[in-house]
Amino acid sequence: MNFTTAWALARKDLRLLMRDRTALFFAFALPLVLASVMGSALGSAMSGGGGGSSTSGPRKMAIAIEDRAQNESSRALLERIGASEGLEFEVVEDAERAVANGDQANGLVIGESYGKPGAKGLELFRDPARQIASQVVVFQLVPLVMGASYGDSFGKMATADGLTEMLGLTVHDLKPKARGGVPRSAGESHAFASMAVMMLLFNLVAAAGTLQDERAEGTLDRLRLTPSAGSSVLLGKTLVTMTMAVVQLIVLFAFGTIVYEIPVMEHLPEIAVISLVWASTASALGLLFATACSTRKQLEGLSTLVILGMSAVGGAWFPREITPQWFQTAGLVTPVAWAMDAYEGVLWYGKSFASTADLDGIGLKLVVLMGYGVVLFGVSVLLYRRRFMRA
Amino acid sequence: MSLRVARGESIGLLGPNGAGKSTTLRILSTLLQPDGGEVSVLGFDPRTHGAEIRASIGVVPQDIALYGAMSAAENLAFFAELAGVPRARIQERVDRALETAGLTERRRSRVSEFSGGMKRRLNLVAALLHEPELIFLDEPTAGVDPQSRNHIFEQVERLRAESGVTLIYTTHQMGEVERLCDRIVIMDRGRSVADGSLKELQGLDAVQRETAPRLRLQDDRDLERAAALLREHGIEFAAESGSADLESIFLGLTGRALRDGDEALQGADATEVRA
Repeated sequence: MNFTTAWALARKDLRLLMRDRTALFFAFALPLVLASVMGSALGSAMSGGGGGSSTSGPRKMAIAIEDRAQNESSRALLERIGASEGLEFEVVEDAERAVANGDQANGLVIGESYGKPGAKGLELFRDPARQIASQVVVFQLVPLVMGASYGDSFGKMATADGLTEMLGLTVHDLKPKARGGVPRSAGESHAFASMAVMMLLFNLVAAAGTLQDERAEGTLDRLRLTPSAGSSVLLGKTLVTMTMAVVQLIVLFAFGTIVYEIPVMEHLPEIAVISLVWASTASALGLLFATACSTRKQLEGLSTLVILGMSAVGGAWFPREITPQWFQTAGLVTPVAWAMDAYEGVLWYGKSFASTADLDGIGLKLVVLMGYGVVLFGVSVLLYRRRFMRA
Repeated sequence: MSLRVARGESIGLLGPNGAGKSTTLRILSTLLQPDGGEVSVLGFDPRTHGAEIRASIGVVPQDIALYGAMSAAENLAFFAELAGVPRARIQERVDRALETAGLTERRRSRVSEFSGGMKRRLNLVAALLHEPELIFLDEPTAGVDPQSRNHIFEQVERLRAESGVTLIYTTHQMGEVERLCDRIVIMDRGRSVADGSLKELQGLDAVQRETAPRLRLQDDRDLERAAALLREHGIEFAAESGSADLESIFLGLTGRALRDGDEALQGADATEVRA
């Protein structure tokens, strides 16, 4: 193996990449677009950060309301709901139908007798498929109905604050320990961590897949016919994937820092080390796919399946916290889960390499990722020797 | 098969599809490990001294093996660097190779824009950048127009005349071997079935049978009548034929049955090469 030769091979691949506009778009622009979309989508759903963005504020829960009463009491209730921080409503002709059709998770019918003494007059229709949303709506709705029916003091008693105060329960909202400030949104942190993990895998598999192209086009044999290139090809491909990974992560996090105020600069050493370790592991995984598959088509099909599966189980699509415990445990089989935990641990919770009095460190996650990288690269070398050097 | 090639010699390796020509070349050029026999190239064993062999050989592959998105000059500079040409001499070698290929004017054009003949010429010179002493040419003129083919022949002839390189040339074009090679080896089913100069091959029994004179008549039954008529009229006759051409020699030795690639190698012993 010869490093000079490997670097010559890597320069050639990078030159070819620079001339492929489609590949450049997928490598560097698409992750920014997807991170923005995902960050916006998850921004409010996972909010709780330092604020500063309309997109990252708490999301109001929607409810469909059918007002059959059309009286002063029903209008007062609608006014309260509209002014509330947690609910927003849409007046519909048939609330039950709106829920049955899946348009809304909850439908409230204000009956004709609402507001009359002794009459109940309210019916709530819920979509069992969206139980969490329904529970949140009921939790928000109860104090508003109590306030409308019995006055503000009763309404306040039924709020979370009122109940906890009455029960003597002290609640502490733990702010992330991020140095130099709190990230705007957990959703945005998650989105950029996801793109750093998932899109890197896709791009590095594509870059390593040029090994298959070289074999199909005959250039691999020509490389193998030079004095030292044959054994340096894999090292050359590794240099390419590592270079691409580093540039891609720099672009992604620079964009996240400038546009979404992701706290990268506050945790630069940790983010740099995680990125280097993850780039190595992802490169090794890309090389494994490239050496294990026989054709480019096989590589594309298999890698897409495995990367999407790993990303789902490993928490790069949606936070693992919202999944069942067994699913979270299963995720740890994939390097994606360890990378996501490391990135989110730093970007949201403000963790460092070593444990502190308040927080666990990310050191173990980095060691596990490095272990994955070493094993995957070792298997890739064996496969390359067996499938490419002796062919 | 047993094959010995002297330095400076130019041999043509002929054989039907699946005869083992490409396998032999892949073993000799270190791309494939032999599973038996003895192989020695330029005094080195490919199994243990692959790098030394690769530093002294040039292989012109059957398929175009160039990077389409790179220019002709970039391709050559890249392969020159990998072949170990000193950095200071790469430019000079690239310029000379482009001139040899007749592509100096197109040095900055991307290879993907080239015609088949231009790619073939570039494919050839890309293997010569490090001035190898042994060159393997695996069907280097497949699919090119007569002009490009002639250009390639001229360059190969010039190379032999100027530097005395050793050539091992495989092709299905008999005329190419007749023109470029001193010696011809015909392979079939993984074995060498004939080895010698064109004249020596013309004298082989199987070739004589294939190239025996034929009186072409409309109907086979006319043959006896024709002979009888000639005798009746006291006409002495003798059929004479010219020298067998290489195509006739080839068919005489390997038969006229169609070959379907790998099938032809089935049943053959493991290839054993002494070169």
